Amino acid sequence: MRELLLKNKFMANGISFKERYGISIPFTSDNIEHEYNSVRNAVGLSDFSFLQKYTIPEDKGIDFLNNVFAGNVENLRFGRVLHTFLSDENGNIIADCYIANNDEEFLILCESIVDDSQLDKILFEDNNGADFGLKNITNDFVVLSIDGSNAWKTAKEIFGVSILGLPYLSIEEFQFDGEKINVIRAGKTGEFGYYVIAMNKVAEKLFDTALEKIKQVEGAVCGLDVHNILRLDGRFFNIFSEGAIVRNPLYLGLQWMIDLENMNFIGGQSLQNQREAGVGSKITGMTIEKEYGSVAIGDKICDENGEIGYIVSARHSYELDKTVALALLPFEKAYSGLKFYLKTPDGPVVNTISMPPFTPKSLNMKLD
Amino acid sequence: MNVEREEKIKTRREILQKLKEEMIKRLDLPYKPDDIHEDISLLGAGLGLDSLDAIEIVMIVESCFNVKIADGNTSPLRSLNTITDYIIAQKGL
Repeated sequence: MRELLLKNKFMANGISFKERYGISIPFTSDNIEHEYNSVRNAVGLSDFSFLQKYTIPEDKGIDFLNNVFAGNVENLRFGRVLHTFLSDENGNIIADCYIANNDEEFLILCESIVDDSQLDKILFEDNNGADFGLKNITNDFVVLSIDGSNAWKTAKEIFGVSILGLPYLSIEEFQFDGEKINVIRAGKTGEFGYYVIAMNKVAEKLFDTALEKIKQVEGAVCGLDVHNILRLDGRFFNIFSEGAIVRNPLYLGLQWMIDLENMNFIGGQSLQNQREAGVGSKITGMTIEKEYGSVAIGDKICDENGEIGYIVSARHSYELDKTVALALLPFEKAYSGLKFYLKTPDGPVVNTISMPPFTPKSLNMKLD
Repeated sequence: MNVEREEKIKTRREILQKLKEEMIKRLDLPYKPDDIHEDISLLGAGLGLDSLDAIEIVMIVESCFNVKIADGNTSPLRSLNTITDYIIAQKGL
């Protein structure tokens, strides 16, 4: 099992660990509501070093990337980041990926539902990644994620005012303690988000500095479980939740991650065929009042005549004070503003909703 | 058949279809209407549209549905579903 370099730092700040796909990840504190509110109202510091990380030279890498990943890397300008995915031959998603065009090489960050060795097999053995200069740098770098409506303040304190000009899905180089640091403006919470990618030798100092800065704005150290809630009620795709259940990018609404004009990537032909045949189901957001108790993955969604779909993700949203869920419903019934029933046709009412169900603070934030 | 539900579906389907067709045409998006999930973020993440695209969307809503979105009111522009909610509320449908 892969252990993360900053494990002791996160444990010392009250975060417990749990295995996920062969990696011991910082999971949660004993107060996940506090973690959640810290991100929505201030800032949270999380360890995203679980990401699988690769580099590939720009000159040799474009063909490899376009033949493996769903997005179009060819048009990715220097300093910009592409959000795309890796799928298997059937088009089922394996990894949710950022590909950054960064100083004559591409940096690839993967959240995958396979372990490190399986992902390496796909990239190196099955697709000859080494021939194109692909390098696995997973264990050489840490990734700290700074997320929240005040995350920009923390980022500014650490890296200077120029970071405020970093557009969403962009990468830029900064200096920290005499070493090169890359920062990607990304995040999947609806609030400001920065991935700070640093060499191991400055990792601890970076963590200590970030911790000091987030405390100045009443932030908190977070585990990764709170990101499952933040992604759900911010309506960001989560490969570890609905992605691992549904797997089909067309059902998940991820067509925007695909270069639809060049579907020669792994699984592209299968997805092309499915797209032409028409998609039968898609995920739909819904809320369930909290007095109905917990909602589980696989719980049925019914109309008056019986089952029409099932829950693929569900958590309590502290922002809405009710359960937010995603269900896989037939295309013709997957609309917002409708009432269905949980588990049985006479079960608790569930309301399909428009996502995201609230406006994150960051959307209307003016940066100083 | 639940008549009330079917009416709501019909109303939303018609608005969403028109919105998608106009956006694909005017913003030159490489999609078919069914490719665009109604909850996908329009600006930044998701479809990745920019502020000029947002102005075009506001104009689509005004020209196709006779509904104005006030300057600075970005809340309806989060997704196609939130725009549709706004149109339904404004027209009292």
